Amino acid sequence: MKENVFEKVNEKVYTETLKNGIDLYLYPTKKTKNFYISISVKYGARITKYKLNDKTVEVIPGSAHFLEHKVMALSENEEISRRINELGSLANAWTNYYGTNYNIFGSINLIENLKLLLDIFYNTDINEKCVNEEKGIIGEEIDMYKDEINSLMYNNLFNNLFNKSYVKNTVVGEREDIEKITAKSLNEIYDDYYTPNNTFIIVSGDFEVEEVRKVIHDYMDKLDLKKKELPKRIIEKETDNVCLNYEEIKRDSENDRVKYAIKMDKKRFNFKDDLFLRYYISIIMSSNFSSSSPLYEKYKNEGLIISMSSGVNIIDDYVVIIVSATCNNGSKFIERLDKDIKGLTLDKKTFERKKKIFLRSYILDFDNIEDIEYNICESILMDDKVDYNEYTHISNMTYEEASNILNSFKYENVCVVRTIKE
Amino acid sequence: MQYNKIIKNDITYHLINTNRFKSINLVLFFTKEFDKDDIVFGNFLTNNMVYSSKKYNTKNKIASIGEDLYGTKISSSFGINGKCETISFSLDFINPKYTEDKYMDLSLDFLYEVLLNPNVENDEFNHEFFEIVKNDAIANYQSIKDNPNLFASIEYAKIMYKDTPSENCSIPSIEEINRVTPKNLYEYYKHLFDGTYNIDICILGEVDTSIIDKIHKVFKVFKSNNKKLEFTIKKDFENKVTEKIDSLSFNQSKLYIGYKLDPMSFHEFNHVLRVYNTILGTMNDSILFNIVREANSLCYSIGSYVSRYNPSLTIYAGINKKNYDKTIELIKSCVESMKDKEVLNRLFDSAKKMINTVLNNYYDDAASQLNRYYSEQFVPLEDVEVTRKEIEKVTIDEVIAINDKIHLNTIYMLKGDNN
Repeated sequence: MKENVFEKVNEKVYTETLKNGIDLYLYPTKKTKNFYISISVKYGARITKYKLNDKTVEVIPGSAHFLEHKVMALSENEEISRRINELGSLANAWTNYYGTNYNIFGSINLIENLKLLLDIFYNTDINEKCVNEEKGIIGEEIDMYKDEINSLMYNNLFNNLFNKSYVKNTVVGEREDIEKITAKSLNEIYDDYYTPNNTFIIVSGDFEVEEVRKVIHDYMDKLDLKKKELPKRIIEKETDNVCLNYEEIKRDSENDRVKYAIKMDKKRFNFKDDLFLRYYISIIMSSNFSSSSPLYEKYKNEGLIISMSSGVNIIDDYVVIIVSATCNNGSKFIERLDKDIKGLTLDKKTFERKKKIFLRSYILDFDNIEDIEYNICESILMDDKVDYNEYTHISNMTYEEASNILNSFKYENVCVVRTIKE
Repeated sequence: MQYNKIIKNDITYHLINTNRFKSINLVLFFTKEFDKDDIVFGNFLTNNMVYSSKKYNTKNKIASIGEDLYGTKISSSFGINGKCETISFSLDFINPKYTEDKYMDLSLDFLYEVLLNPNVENDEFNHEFFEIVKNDAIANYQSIKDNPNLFASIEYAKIMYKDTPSENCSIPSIEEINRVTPKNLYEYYKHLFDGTYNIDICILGEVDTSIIDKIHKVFKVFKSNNKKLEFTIKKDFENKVTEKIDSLSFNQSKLYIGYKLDPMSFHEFNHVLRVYNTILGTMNDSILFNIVREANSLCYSIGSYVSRYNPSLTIYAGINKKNYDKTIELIKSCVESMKDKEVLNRLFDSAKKMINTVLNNYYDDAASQLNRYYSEQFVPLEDVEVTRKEIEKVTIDEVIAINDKIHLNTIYMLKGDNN
């Protein structure tokens, strides 16, 4: 296995790609009595259509998440469920646009838990009866997210920003989407995407690297799964314009909430690394909209906002910057932001100060094995790599580069979602 | 990990010396008996003090200094802990070995500034920032009904914990907010250090006792109370069930079912009830999860928790309003099944093992360790390793017997009226 060292904190991760293509990331540590094991597949809700050999498949929105529920169907696999319980472990799973993660958190017998997690992943029985039974549970989950105003506003915002993109659908889908999902449609996705060369395993906790490595090798040898051709994701051509530039959501709420977004073509920035493009733009946005920014202070002192924050998303070929606020008068806030957003600034001192926040985050993320697992998983799903020298790369970020990026901002394609009192 | 408790001028210092974490955490806890009037003052004070100080006299300045110190954070809160109330200020910063030595003193100076040098003129908090914090407080109160879980839990607590401090929400109402002025808030501030409160200072990280000497040089001017305070509420209750339904325009309905507890021994409450609650509503294969969610597809989220300082057991679920009666009947049958040895046998050993895993989390979470040593001043606690051993000794018969001490008291639903 290859030893990789996260610089500055001297934390080691051992990696290997097995002959069937599955990637291993082993993080042994004495700092905790618990362990956290995961197996992830690079298949998430952003795949809306794909081609494999001669077939083209239209994916029903919500399928990746539905499939997660049926792979992690412990109540339907009594033997595995019984063993996980007997070991006092907790099994869970999550899905986002980029991938699906199955995990076990425990303290007793890491090796057996690892085998159980692999059993869960590789021994699915998705049938019509269990799929129909799951629809009620997922329906309640959909309702729960719709009641969260922030989540609802983000969903509507992305739906309005884009014309064809995957983000027009939520990860969980709508009730009418999941009604269309069948055992056949889920099994087809499972067969096409849940392949070794589209999968990776992360093990973190107190263990012997060689022992865990051998268990995975033996399991995979027995399973005898081969590398498979991966489906080609079909991306519908997106256009620069926003689909709908303004939407009001009626809400029985005293304060207005606003999400103000700008959609920009990523090519404008001429910057290859998406992760650091996100970092640079995050610094620019934070410098202008966080509580340490003059604009925040001004809006606050004028009684325009109660709270304000910002974010950045890269969605295929587009960069989206978002300013979110809770305010006393949504219309006035939007009017002011329309003017002020065109005058974003960045000075060197603020840039260097903001970099320190990223460095802090890099160091403190190693305190918790769940955070370590999550960060490795997210890096692979979103950026297809783990950067062991991120500390240096953050330190080497330059004000000049940030200024170039800020100068490339284009403020034309605005999209606003706001609440309005019922 | 090494723990030291040192009392100086009635201030109790708790030092947890450990290299487990890459940060250093320091929390000041101010504790006194609960007074309803303090909800609004406690909230206002904690929010004002971290909004600006005399030296960092704008929001920008106070936020910028934290960023400049590698994201050093000072957060503050007001909370109700059973019969008591707690104001806390916490500082966390990166262990200076990852930055530069000077950041230790600079971070501590930042905390001293926030605590000891508030933005006060002529014995009144700065009016401009006071008004901003006031507007934020009003908005915070008004936003309760935007959050169905929060709204439901507040309304549930009003019934379930009636006539005890726990019936109060720690978010002040508009009527309460309007009672506070920059002047009476400053009067309230002065009580922090005049002996009104028991002061506990907990420090966790790769630091030795010299940090206590360093801090005490500044904090020795504080007067701390040394009154014996206790968190746990002991109150008789009537054996009757109160049912209430409210409506708001949400998609999902939130159900809360509360059970009162008869007096229990330390072992029953801390060990037997913990196993009981794990089987009923927290483990992977819990009875509630299996019956209500998996077998009947009635909800996505369901679980149970024990309230330590106002002894009770609460079951919560997110359901469709049309399934109200069916869900309640199923939940009651789940609680009833906790008397069934056959049902318990299936989950009993697993529950203990899961508790074992959860207990390990204590060592991985700085906040749990800080809170544990603080709470120990006000509630009987035992070492995590002792708990582990005591959990092992719990028998199925004890779990069955505890069922007779659990009584249904409150059924509350926030009905989602959107569909």
